[in-house]
Amino acid sequence: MLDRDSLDVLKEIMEEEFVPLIELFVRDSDLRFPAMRRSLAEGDSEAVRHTVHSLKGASSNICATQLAGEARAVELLAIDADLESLPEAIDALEASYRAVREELLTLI
Amino acid sequence: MAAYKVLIADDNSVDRKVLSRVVRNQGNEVIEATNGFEAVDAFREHRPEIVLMDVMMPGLNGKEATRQIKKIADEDFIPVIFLTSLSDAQSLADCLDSGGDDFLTKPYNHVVLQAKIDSFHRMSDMHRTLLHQRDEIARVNRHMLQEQRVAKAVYDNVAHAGCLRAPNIRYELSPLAVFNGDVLLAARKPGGGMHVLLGDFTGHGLPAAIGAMPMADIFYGMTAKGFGIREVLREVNQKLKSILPVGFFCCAAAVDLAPDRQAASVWMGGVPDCYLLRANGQIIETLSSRHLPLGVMSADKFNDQMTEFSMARGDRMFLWSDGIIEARNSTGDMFGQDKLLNVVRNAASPEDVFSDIQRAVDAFVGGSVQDDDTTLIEVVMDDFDNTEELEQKTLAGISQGPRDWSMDYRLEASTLKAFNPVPLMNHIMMEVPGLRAIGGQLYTVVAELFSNAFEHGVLELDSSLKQSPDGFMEYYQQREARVANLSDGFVRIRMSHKGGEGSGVLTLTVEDSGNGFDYSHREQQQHQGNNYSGRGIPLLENICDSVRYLGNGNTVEAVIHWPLDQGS
Repeated sequence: MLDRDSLDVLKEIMEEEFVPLIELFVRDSDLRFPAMRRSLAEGDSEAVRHTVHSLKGASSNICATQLAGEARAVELLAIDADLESLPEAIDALEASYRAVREELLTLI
Repeated sequence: MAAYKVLIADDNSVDRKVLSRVVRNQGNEVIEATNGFEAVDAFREHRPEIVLMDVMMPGLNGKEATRQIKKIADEDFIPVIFLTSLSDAQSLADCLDSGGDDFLTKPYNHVVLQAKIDSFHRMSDMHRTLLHQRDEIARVNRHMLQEQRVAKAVYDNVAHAGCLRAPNIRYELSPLAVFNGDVLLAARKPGGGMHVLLGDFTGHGLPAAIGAMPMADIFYGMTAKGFGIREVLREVNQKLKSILPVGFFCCAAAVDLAPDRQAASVWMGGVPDCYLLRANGQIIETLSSRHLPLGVMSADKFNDQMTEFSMARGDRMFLWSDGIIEARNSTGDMFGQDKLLNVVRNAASPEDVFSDIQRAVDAFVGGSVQDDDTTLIEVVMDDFDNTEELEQKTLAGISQGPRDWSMDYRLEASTLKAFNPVPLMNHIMMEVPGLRAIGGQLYTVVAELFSNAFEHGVLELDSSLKQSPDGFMEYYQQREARVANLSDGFVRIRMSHKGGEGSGVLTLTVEDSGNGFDYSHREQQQHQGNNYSGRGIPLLENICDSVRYLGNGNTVEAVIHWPLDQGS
C-alpha cells in the first residue's frame, strides 16, 4: 500500500516537517469523504471530481501510489457523471484509505 | 546552487507543503498561494523568477492565472511550470499550449524539479542577455543614424556647389543616396559648358559616403578653376586610391559637355551601358565602360582617355548606375538592361524618355522595399548662358597665380626610364589662371612634344611604323625593349611665361639628345597625315601660334598665346 522506499526519501526531504505532513494528510483526507457524499447527494459530480482529484494528488505525494490509482478510477466515474456507480466506488475508496491511514499513523 | 524566488500556487495543502520544502531545501525562497487570485496578487507583489502552478484550482484556474501573470511579466521571461497529476501525452501537451512552459507530474521528484529550475534559470539569463543586446543594438543604431545625419549635412555643404538644377539637367537621386554609394555632381566650366560626374561607390553606409566628399571637393574645386575633366578624373582617382581600402572603389561616368565644339567627351569605368539619344529620337548611341572604376589604378597606370561624341543642340545623354538595372520586383527579378533600352526606344519623343524610365522602374518594382538605389540623370546639349552665375563662382576659385616666370627641367636616361614628366609640366602650367581654360589642349601639346622627343629623339623609334595596325604593335614592342635598355640620353623641357591682366604668352621648348631630322621638308609633309599617326602636328598647330624646329631638329619650340583667339 505504501511505497516504503519513496517514503524514506520523503522523510529525508521533509525532516522535522515529516510528521506534521502526515498529520496534515490525515486531517485533510478525513474530510474528503463526507464532502464527496454531500456533493453526490446534491447530484454535483463535478464537485465530487474536484474532491477526489485532490485526494489523488495528495496520495501520490505521500507515496500511497495504489490509493492514488484508485482515486483516479473514481475521478473518471465522476467525470462521466456516473451517479449510479459512484456511491459504491466512494465506499471502496474509503476502505482503501482507512488502511493507508492506519499504516501512516504507525510511522509517526 | 543559486537562490531563486519561486511562487508555488496549489490549493492542495499536502502538495503545497511537500513542494515548498523541496524547493526551500534547494536554497530557494518560496512564496505560497492557495488559489489563482492569490497567485496573481502574489506575483505582482513579489515578482518571483519562476512559478509552479497547479492546473486545477477552484475560482481562477491555473491556466487563466498563468495568462494574467505572463501579461504582467511583459518583456521578462518568467517560466511557469504546471503541476499536474495528468499523465497522458495529449493532456500534457494541452497544458503547454495554454501558455505554460513545462509541467511537473505528481508525485514530485525533487531531482527532476531541481534540474528544471536550473534549466529555466539558464533560459531566463539568456533571455535577459538578448533583451539587453537588443536595447544596445537599438542604441547603437540610433547613434549611427545620428552620425549619418551629420555626415550627410557635411556632404551636402560640399555638394551644393553644383549645378544639378541647371535647366538642361533632369535627375533622380534618393535624398540618402550618398549612403547607398551613389553620387551626382555637375558643375559649369568657366570657359563654357559643364562637367557631369555620376559615381557609384562600393558598399553602403558611411564607408560609401566617405569617398564622396573628397571626390566632390576635388570635382567642384578643379572645375571652377578651369581644369579639364581628365585632370579632374586623374586627381579623383589618385585621391580615392589613397584613401579607400583595398576592394573599395567608385564606378563612374564622367562627361565633359562642350557646346562650343558641339561635342561631349565621355569617360566610363565600371558602369553599365548608357545612351545618347539624338534630337530626332531615331538614333541611340551606346556609351560603354572602357575603363576600370576610379580608385583602382595607380597614377601612372590610370587611363584618362575620353571617348568623343558629337552632340548637337537637343541631343541628350542618359546616365545611370547599376541600381536601375538591378532594381528588383517582388519575385526577385531584375529590371535589366534590355528593358531599359526598350523604354528609351519606345518613348513617344525624346523629352518623354526620362519620365518614361522613372515610371517603368516604379511600376516594375511595384512598391517593394528597394527603390532607393535608382540614380538617373539626363543631360541635354543646350546653349549655355553662363555669364552671371559664372562671375561669382570663378572669382571664388581663382587665385592670382604666377605671371612672369621661366623654368628649365632636364631628365636623364635613368629618370626617363621610369618617370613621365607630362603631368608635372601640366600642373606648373595650370598655376596660371588664364591657361586653365585650355588645360586639356595644353596637356595634349606637352604630351605630344615630349612623346616625339623621347620616342623619336632619344629612343630613335621610327614613326612611320605607326601607319598600320600591325606596325603599331611592332612599334610598342620596340619601344618597351629600348626603354628597358636605355642608358644614356636626355630630354630637356623649358617653359617661360609672360602675362598681362587678361592675356599672356607661354613658350614651350623641348630638346632631346637625339640626332634630329631634316625639318626643312616638314612644311610639305605636314598636311599629309593619315588616320593613324599624322594627327600630331596639325593638332598642335591648331592650338599653338607657332611651332618651329631649331638646331638639327632635336629642339622644338611651341608658342601659345592666351586667350586662344588672340594672336594668330
